[in-house]
Amino acid sequence: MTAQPAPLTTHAEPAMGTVFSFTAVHGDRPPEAVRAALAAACRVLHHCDALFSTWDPASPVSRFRRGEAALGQLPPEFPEVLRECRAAKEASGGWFDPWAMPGGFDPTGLVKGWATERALAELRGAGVAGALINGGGDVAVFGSPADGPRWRVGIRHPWRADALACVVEVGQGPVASIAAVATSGPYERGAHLIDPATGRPASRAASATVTGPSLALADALATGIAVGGDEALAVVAGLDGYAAYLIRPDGSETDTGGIAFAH
Amino acid sequence: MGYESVVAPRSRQGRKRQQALPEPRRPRPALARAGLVAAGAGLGAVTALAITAETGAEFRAAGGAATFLGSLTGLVGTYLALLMVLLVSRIPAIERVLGQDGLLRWHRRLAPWPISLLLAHALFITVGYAQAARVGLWHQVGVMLSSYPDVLIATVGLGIMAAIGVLSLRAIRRRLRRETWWLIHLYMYLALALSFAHVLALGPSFVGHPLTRIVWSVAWAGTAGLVLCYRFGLPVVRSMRHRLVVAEVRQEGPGVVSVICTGRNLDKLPITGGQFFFWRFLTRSMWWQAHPYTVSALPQPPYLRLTVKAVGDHSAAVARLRPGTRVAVEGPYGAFTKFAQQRPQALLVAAGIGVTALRSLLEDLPRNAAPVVLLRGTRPEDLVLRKEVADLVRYRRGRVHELVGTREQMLLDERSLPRLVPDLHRRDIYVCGPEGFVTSIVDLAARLGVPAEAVHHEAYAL
Amino acid sequence: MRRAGWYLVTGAVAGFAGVLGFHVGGTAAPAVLGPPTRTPAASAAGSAPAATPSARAGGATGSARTAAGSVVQYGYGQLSVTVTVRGSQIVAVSVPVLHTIDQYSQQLAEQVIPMLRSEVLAAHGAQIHGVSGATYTSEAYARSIQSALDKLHVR
Repeated sequence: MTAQPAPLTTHAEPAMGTVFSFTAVHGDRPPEAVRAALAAACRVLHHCDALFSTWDPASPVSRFRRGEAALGQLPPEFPEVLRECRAAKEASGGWFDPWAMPGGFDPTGLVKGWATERALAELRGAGVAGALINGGGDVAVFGSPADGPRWRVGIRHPWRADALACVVEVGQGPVASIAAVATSGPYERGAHLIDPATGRPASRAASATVTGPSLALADALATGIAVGGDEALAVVAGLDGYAAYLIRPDGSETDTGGIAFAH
Repeated sequence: MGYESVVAPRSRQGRKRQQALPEPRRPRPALARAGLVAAGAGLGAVTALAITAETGAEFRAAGGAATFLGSLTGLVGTYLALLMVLLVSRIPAIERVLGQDGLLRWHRRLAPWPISLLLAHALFITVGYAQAARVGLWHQVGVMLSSYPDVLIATVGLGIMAAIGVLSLRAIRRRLRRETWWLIHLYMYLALALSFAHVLALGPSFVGHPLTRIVWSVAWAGTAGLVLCYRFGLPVVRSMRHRLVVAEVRQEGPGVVSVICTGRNLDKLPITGGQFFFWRFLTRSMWWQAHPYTVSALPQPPYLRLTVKAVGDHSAAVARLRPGTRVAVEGPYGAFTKFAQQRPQALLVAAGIGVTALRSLLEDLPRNAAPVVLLRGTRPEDLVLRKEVADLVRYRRGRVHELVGTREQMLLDERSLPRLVPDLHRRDIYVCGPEGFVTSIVDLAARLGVPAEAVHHEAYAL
Repeated sequence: MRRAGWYLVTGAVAGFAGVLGFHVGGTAAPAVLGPPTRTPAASAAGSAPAATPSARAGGATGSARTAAGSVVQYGYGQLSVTVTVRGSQIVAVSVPVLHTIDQYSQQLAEQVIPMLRSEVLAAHGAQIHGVSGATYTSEAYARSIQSALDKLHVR
């Protein structure tokens, strides 16, 4: 791994069907410690992957979906994820509903963010000055980047190649708080973009971005807004600490205020 | 002969024409062969395009097989549709070799294929895309019609094609007037034009592949250009150039009239004996129809003659044409000419009004041709133009056999024909007349061992 | 026209072989699907964006090695990622092979791939630290990268 003027380590780890990229600002930690923390974070990701992969028929979530395993027989992460799902469903006003997926309960829309947060916690526990994990588009940060006070995250343009729709700044100064950016869109095909009302793929938004303290919830809320459009946006607006940004299929944009756009 | 005796100074019949016509354009079989090779190459090329549109992995993926079939049917179907258009575009070089009737025959035979393939294409593509996107079929239909570029308009085009296909089914076509069906089926041009855009916008072989885009576009533009030029443009130019006007209508026999037209620059009309025009008589009731009638004598500038038997509304109306009526023509068309002759001599067989083609063909034969002519008719008065034919044949040291009577009385079969024509092996056979008669003679020739290349026929659909 | 069939068949074989030969022996330009008005930026991509190898003096020693990952099918088409590493550091990725079944997938893939590329390289020194966006196509991308890395014996 390379040493930088401001010491920084990057890493890319394929997991959960996507690529997780890590950026860790060393601060005062030695490089070996940082590397060890990164390895631990990757293990967390793979562990969550093994538990919650709906593509693997033998995984606990698959068995749960088929009704072959009761909650008590499943690992402890399961009830936690279920709780998060319920909370996310409520917070999103029902627009995010893992139970309304074809094939049964599907927490995929939330699990990636949830796993990312747990991986980030490993890095935070190791004492680095700042870190960013990008799990295939869902970003969680804490601390400060090497080259500025706040992390800057580009939001991918929903239909223009090589373009960003905007750049947002996330992350407060204090190391303790985590900040997250999650984006969802109908271009993201798959089970987690089903409109719960109709059971069919939805497209009231071209792209929905949510920032807030919890990536899991931001992930779920972004998915919900991608399905529900402006209606769901209003729900998120009412949530403390969370802000949303919506690009509609016709190209118009709106946000709930509270998103720190940077250019 | 004919009109010459009426309006021009008498000259010895059957002998020299007053003005030598320029040598008409020879058909070049090599061009037609090249055209066939090109047509085949196009078919092979689009098939290969379809195969290379998807990779093996894509084929195995969800929806891959259906999408492949959709590509194949779409490409081949569209290509065949373009071929159909080219077949009836009346490109002179091709038409001289293959003949308008031959081209029409192929056009009709080919017809069900493009329509069926394109309908299948729409179905397969929709199914394939629906499977790939994992959505329901009807949802996919909606998505494609509303979101995919140019698909809605192409679907309208497909609908027009399907409607034309349905109306062309024999059971339904029978109930329509020929002119009505004809006008409706001209909408095929519109249907094709509407479908053009979506191929370039969505076809995997075309998007991002500049070479195939250019080739495809050139092919379409070329076809359109050929149609505009030879199907529409050239006839208009010719009609305006020659300014044909009806001069006289005279009776030749029961139900048969000759129409003598005058025109300008008839010495520049590139017609060969045996060819025909589509005639459009510009009267209020007839201007919108063009019917094929054979030119029954080579032009004698300023005169041009056609001889018509009244078998339907249009041909009956021809008998009532008034002098001074202007005429527009499309042509000359037909491969039933001296150029088709392979063997040293010719046997010309005609029944009824089929004699018109033979009559003008005879004029093209050289003096020592010694043709044998068989004229079939039920009654003596059915043998129209017989005197002209006799004069022409005598001048060329040939023989005419007039076979008057019923079919049973004058049966032409394996025994009677060789008796009439002992040196059949040295002669090409030209046969012209009603469809049934022509078919029977062609079959007879085959049974007598005459190779197909030496038999030339023109059948009049009545 | 006698032997018309032979002429047709000869032409068909020639046309078929010609197009196939051209396609197989053609340039490495990938089959890019997508609306013609858009610049097919992604798939023809070459190597890394601006900010890379030179800045990473340290661990990225040795010569660059490149491998193409396996062609992966991701439900809407397939792609293959080519990865260049120096040492154990990915220094460049490109997507020379990208085929999708339908146009919208291609739009998606075209748009996603460059973002993913910069993401894997951790957007060093650029104005952004990461990109938030789509994920579905990342599966195939990741698997192909992984197979390329496996071939290069990196991690």
